[in-house]
Amino acid sequence: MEARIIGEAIIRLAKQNKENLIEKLVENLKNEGKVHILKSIVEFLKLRNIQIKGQEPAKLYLAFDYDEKEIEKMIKEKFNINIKIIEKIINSDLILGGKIITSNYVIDFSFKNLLNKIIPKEKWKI
Amino acid sequence: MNELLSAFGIDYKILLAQILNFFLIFFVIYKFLLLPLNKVIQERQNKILEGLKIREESKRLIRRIKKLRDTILKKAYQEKEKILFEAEEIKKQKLEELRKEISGLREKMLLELNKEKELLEQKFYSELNEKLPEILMQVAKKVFASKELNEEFIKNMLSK
Repeated sequence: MEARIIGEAIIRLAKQNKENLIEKLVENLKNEGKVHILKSIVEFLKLRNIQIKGQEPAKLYLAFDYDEKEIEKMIKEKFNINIKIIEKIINSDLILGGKIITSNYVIDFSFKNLLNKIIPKEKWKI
Repeated sequence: MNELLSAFGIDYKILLAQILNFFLIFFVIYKFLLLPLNKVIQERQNKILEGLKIREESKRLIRRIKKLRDTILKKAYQEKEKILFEAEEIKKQKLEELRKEISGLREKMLLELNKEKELLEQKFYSELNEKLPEILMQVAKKVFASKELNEEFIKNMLSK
């Protein structure tokens, strides 16, 4: 939470071209011994950067490795959602295909999901 | 008298002696022969009579024993028949009881078997329900483990 607040503050300062204040903020964090939250701030800034560009940051789960750019393109064409894959995880439990999770959507195009739809869920939930 | 006796040639003295002799011999014979002989005969007769009596008694006893034996045999036969009849009745009763007991046990066992069968079926289906998805997934993983298939699948799923 703290990382998000500081991140938002950094973005505002950057918009106002107040780099020296950003440097002071980071210095202050160092002095307070909160260097560990810097990583979270950087992650948050990366996500915000993607969002500012009009994209949805997304996590991609795949049964087998596949080109994420290709997937981003296909998602854009099929759902008209502009996503940016920030993390790719291989999970063989999906059997085939994959799953995309953003802060707003879950797009499941895995074979496991297909099986779950075919087989009655109350009986056989995979 | 003497003259008469002489006329017949009988000497009364000799006659007297002969009479005396006769009685003497008679006495001796009677005393030492007839009396013991009579006694022996009497004893023998008594013995025979006693034997006959005993024989009669024995015959009577034998008859009585026979009668008694017949009665006992008859009674024993009747008793045997009665025991056999009772045994047959008991056998029938026991067999009936046993049949009922076996029938009851059979019913109980069948009921338990059916219950056990139902439980086993339930367990089997429950385990199948639990394990089948996992098995299905393992099979699917083995069957579809191909990058080319994956590529095709993604294209199919995400194509317009």
